[in-house]
Formats: sequence, C-alpha cells, structure tokens
Amino acid sequence: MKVLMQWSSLSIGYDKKPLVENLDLIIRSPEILCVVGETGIGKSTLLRFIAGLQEKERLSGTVTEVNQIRKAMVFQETDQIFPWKRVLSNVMIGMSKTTENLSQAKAILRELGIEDKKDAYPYTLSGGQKQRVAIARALMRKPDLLLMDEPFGSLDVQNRKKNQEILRQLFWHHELSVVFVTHDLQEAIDLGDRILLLKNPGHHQYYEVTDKNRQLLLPQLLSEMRI
Amino acid sequence: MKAMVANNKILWLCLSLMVLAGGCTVGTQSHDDKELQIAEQFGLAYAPLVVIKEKSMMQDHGVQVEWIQLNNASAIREAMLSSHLDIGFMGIPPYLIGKDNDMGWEVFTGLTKAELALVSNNEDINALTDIERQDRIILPQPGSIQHILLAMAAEKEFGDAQYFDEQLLSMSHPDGLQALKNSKDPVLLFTAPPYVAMALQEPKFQKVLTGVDAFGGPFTFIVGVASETAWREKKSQIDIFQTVLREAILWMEQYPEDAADLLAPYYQITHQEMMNYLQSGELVYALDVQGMERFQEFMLQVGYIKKEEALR
Amino acid sequence: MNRWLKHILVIISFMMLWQLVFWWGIYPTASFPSVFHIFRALWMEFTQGDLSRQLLITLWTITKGVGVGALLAVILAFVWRKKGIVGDMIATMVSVAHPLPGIALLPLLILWFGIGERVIVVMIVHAVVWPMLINIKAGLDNMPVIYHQIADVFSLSSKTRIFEIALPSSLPFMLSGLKTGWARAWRAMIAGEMVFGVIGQSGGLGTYLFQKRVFMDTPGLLAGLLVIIAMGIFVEEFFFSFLENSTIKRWGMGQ
Repeated sequence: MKVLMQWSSLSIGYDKKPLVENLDLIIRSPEILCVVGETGIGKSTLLRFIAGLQEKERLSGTVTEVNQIRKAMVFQETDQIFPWKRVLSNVMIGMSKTTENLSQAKAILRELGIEDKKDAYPYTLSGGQKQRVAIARALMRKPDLLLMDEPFGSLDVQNRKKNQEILRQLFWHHELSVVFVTHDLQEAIDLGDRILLLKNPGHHQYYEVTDKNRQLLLPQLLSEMRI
Repeated sequence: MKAMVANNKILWLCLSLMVLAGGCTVGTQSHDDKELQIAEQFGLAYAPLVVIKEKSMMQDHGVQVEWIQLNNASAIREAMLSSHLDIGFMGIPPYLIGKDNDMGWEVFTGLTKAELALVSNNEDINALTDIERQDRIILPQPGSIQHILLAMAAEKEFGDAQYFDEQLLSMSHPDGLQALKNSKDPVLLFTAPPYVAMALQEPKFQKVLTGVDAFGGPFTFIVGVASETAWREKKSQIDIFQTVLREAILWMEQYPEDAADLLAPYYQITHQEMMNYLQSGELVYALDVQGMERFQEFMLQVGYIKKEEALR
Repeated sequence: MNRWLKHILVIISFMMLWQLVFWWGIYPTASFPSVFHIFRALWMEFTQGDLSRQLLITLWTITKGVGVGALLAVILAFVWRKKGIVGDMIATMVSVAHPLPGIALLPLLILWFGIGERVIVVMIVHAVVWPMLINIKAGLDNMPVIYHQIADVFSLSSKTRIFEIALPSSLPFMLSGLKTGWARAWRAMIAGEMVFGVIGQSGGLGTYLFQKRVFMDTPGLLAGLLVIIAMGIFVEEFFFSFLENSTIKRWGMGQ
C-alpha cells in the first residue's frame, strides 16, 4: 500500500492553544479515512489545514508529502455551488473548455447520476444533487486527495445513503484517497477504511475497519468518545 | 376593500385639483396695492436700480418696494406670469418673445445703452469668417440680446441668421469669462460691460464684433417692463418709479463721486474702478428706447417670433 | 396587467383634471397650456424637431458616463479591499465625494475640463461612481467565505476569481448600485444642461428644456417633461426588470 503523505508529531490550533496535538498522520493511497469526534474538537480545522487553507494555524510538526499532490475539497454547505453558473460550468470552473475536459465533465456527471442536470441552474437542484455537483467539481481536478467536510451533513437520510453509495463507487473507480470528516459515527463506519477519533488535544486513536469488526465498532467508538 | 381604493382615488383627484388650482390664488392674494415688486439682476447695467434701492428713493414717495433677485429674463418672465412681479428689466428680444406668446407686458422705459462685443481668446480669430465650426461661442442664453445680435451679424455675413446656432453655449458672463481664460481651444464670448474690458485686458484676446456693428447703429441694451396687472392696477406706482428712475440717473451724472461711493461696495470693487466704469462711456444710462422696431422686424423675419401683431 | 390598468387610469384622470383646470381659465395660457397643445407639441417635436435626437444624445451620454463610472467603481472597489493606505484613501474619498452634488462641482469641472460634452460626462461619472463603488464594495464584503475557500483550494487564477466568482457574487449589490447611479446620472445630466446649457450638436434633453424655457414654449416644455417621465418609467420598469430577470432572478439569487 502506497503512502500519499505523512506527518509527524503535528500540532495545530489557534492562538498557540492547540486543538490537535502531537498527531502522527499517514494517508494511504487509496483509502477512505474518516475523521470523527465531538463538535469543536478540531475535525474541520484539521481538514482545512490539510487542504492548505489554514497554514497559519500550524504550531509545530513536520509534513512529508510524497510528491506534489493534487487536492480537492467538498464542503458541507450546499451553497458551495455558484448559483450564477449552470451545473456544467460549475464543474468546469477554472478549467479550459477543451472538448476533452468537457467530455470528462459529462462523464463524471453521468457517474454521479446528474448528467441530465448539466444545463440546470443550481437553485433548481435538491441539496443532495448540489453536493454531487460539488463532488463532480472536485473530481474534475483529478485529485490525489479528496477532502470532504461533512459533505452529507445537511441531507436527509435517503439522500445521504444515496450519496454515500455513489461516493463508495467513485472511490473504487478512481482509486482515491479520501479524508472524510463527519460527526456521524455510523457514516464513518459505513464508508471508512480507517477511522481517526479525535478526543482531546493529544488524545486520538486510529481504528481499522474490517468486515469482521464492522458490527462491533459502533459501541466501541461510542464508549471511547465518552472517556 | 374595493370601496376604500375608490375612496382613495377620489381623495387623490381632489388633492391634485387643489394643488393645480392652488398656485394661482396664492399668487394674486399676496399683492399689496401700496407695494411694488421689482426684479433686479446683478450687473453694472442695472446700477440706477441699486441707487434707488440703497437710497430708499421709492419709499420717499410712499411706495414700498420688494426687490427680488432674479438671474435671467426667463425667470423674470415666469415670475410675472405667476403674478409675483410687477417690474423687471431685460434685453429687448426676451421681451418680444414674451409678447409673441401673448403676454400683456409693456416696456415703460429704457435703462441702459452699452457697448456689447464678441471677444475671442485667440489672436487668429479677428472676424466672423475666422470662426471655425468647432469653436464654441458663449452667450447668456439663446433668445438673449447677444444671441439676436449674433444672428443679425451672421445674416449679414453669411446670409444665414442661424449660422452659429449649433455652436452656442449658455453661461453667465463671469463664468463665460473664466471659460475663455481657461480654455486652450478657441472660444468666443458675447458679453457686456464690464466684462468686455476685463476680457480685452488679456493680451491674446481679440474683439471680433461689436453690438453696434451687428445692429447697424445704436440700440437700447436694457429696458424696463411692467406686467399686465401692474399696468392695470398700479399705474400710479409705475409713474412714480419712472420719475424716481430719472432722478437717480440725474443724480449719478451730477454727483459721480457720491454715486461711486454708494455703488463700489455693492459691486465689491474700489471707488476708483467704479469711477472708471461710470466715466468710460461704455455704459450710458438713458430712459429712451432705441431699436425696438429693428429687433421686431429681424426676429419676425428669422422666425424667433411669429406673430405679426407684435409689431406696433 | 391590473397594475398597468391602474397606472393608465391614474394618468388619464390626471390629464382630465389638467384639462379641467385649463378650461377653468385661472392661469394664463402661456403658463398653463391645454393637454391637446402639449401632445401636439410632443408630436411636432418628435416628427419635425430635434427631440428624438436629443433624447438619443442624452441616453448615449449617460451610457458613456455610467459605463466609465461602473468600470471605475469596480476597479476602485477591488483596490479598496486591499488593506493599507490606498484603501484608506479610497474610503476617505468616498465619504468626501459621495454627498457632493455634481451640479456644485460644475464650475470647477469647467475650469478643469473646459466646456462641452466632456464636462457633462465627467459629472455623470461623478454621479455614478460613488454609489456604485459603495455597493460593489458591500457586495464583495458580503461574499460568502466559502467562495474564497473554494478559490483557494482549487488554486483558481485571479482572473477566474474576479470575473467568475467575485463579480457575479456581488451582482445583486451592483444592480442596486446601478439603479441609484442611473437615477443620479439622469438628474445630473438634465440639471447640468439646464444650468450650463450646452446648445447645438451635443445638447440633450436638458438643453431642450432650457431652449423651450427661454423661447417661452410652455407646451414644448411640458412635452419634454412627459418624455423624461416616460423614459424614467421605461428604464425602471423594463430595463432594470430585464437586467434582473436575466441575471439574479434567473439564478434564484433573490436578495
């Protein structure tokens, strides 16, 4: 199994007060790494830091990226889609409109089951569809690492299940590395290959998800979170 | 709900009717038989009016005067139409335009004769034929005496009275003088004393045309006009005003030093400058009216006025 | 449709009232002409006079002024957002210049820019640029944080950030700035010409009103006012509606 990036004894936080402390993080390729923990524990900060959005907040630690890796991100908010752009232009933003790119964008939309919406304006889409447009936009960049910040958090159960399934298929097809932040433990167990549980600064724990322990993991995580 | 909307509409209609009709009643009621409302404009041409005002000469005859500062003949005309004004002073052409539009006003006196002139800010422009199509000509407003004089000259020179009409620009005399001084492009200004002399102090400025040349003889620059209602209801006050005006002009001639003392602070210039203006001969204060017929004929011929009967 | 019917009803009743007052005869005809005279003057001015040309000149001049003003406002808004002395200078400039009526600046503008159409355009630019600048700045300030983050994560170019994200995102603000700017430009142009009186080839509606006034053509004056009213309604009801319907309403960005 390849290692995409590797960090050692990383501390990040605001105003010298660490949110995440002394974290060793390895991201493999491919895998889905789900980050769970209570609200405010630093999940999103960690993710944004990986994305390069919050470089300032690094307090200490070393980062080793195997190569210059391409990152893309999907946010929680459904208004991450630009309302003034049709679905296809949203997916294509910042990319030249070559036939190759266009056909790739359409292919991705097809994979996500929203090809028929390519000329629609975002306000006509459901929340779940908007999130899939965001995923399509991220995939368009052919990312090595896809960062997702509770992308299905604002969806109803039905839409959430559907999007999880689609994500799983994409993962197999594109051989992605995904860091997936969620507060929903069941979602993490369903999706993840590994789970990183953030507890307090300096306290965190990894779990491998296997077919064997899938059933047992939920109570274990729940009890761990309480400690 | 429907009924309320309808009620509102009726209310609105009544209100608008009141507003439309309202102005008139206010206008006529504000008149006081003892009082005379006179419009003054700013400029040396109106100096005898300043003398009357500053020396309270009308009050000595038992007539109260309300002096109203107005900027141009259009404003005077409008004030008279709304019955807010008895007497105003202006050039002959604006008076004729009002006459042509059925105003019952009448000239009752002359006030000033003046050396008007068209001045260029460019030494290459010495005659009308030197003026290019893109050169701007500044004058107080279309329909003013300066405009008509220019049209007369253009008629003589080019056979087309409206030859310059596309390149006119309206500005007050002082603004026009500023524009002349500050513009790099060739600009001309048709103006009156003291602005003619002030402009000609600049080395490159040229006199292109005089009012007398354009008109073909002397003419009255400013006349006094009384409104139709004033003629009907305030004839005696107008008579008194005529007498007082004659006295004022006489006094200015007899006691120029005293007149300069009185007028200099009003025009914010020195006593000596005021004396120079009064004695330069550029401005002559005189009660007779000269040139009325010629203006009428010309304006009728060119179409600035339309009615034959304005000719008396 | 009902709304239009109401408008028309009000206009017709007002015209009837006007005519009644005319027949009443308390005003001199020279200052209160009949409705028929006004409409005849309107017809004559359009068919034989210069009114259509003057209307076009007015609109064209305003378009130029608004175009330059809007462009300037966009550029200044982006500069303003850069922190530091330049941004502070712009902030001061806005608070000094925004409340200043263009008409008050006119004598100075004549000194600086000479005479002619340029001055009017500069005055319109002044009328437009400050309200638009304030609005665009507000639009940029109110841009959701997530748009910045998306641009950062996807390493979008400045060109894409400005033209495909920042500007469309602040479009609702820009449009309301444009509305204010248009109203101010329209007033500035007509007022400027009425005071300043550009006559001849570069004259617009203000010049038209000025000429009608000095030659005492009251029906023509009122016909000009009708054109101004009609133009105002047209721009408000059709032009801006069209702009909104084809942009922010179409995108579901109702403010």
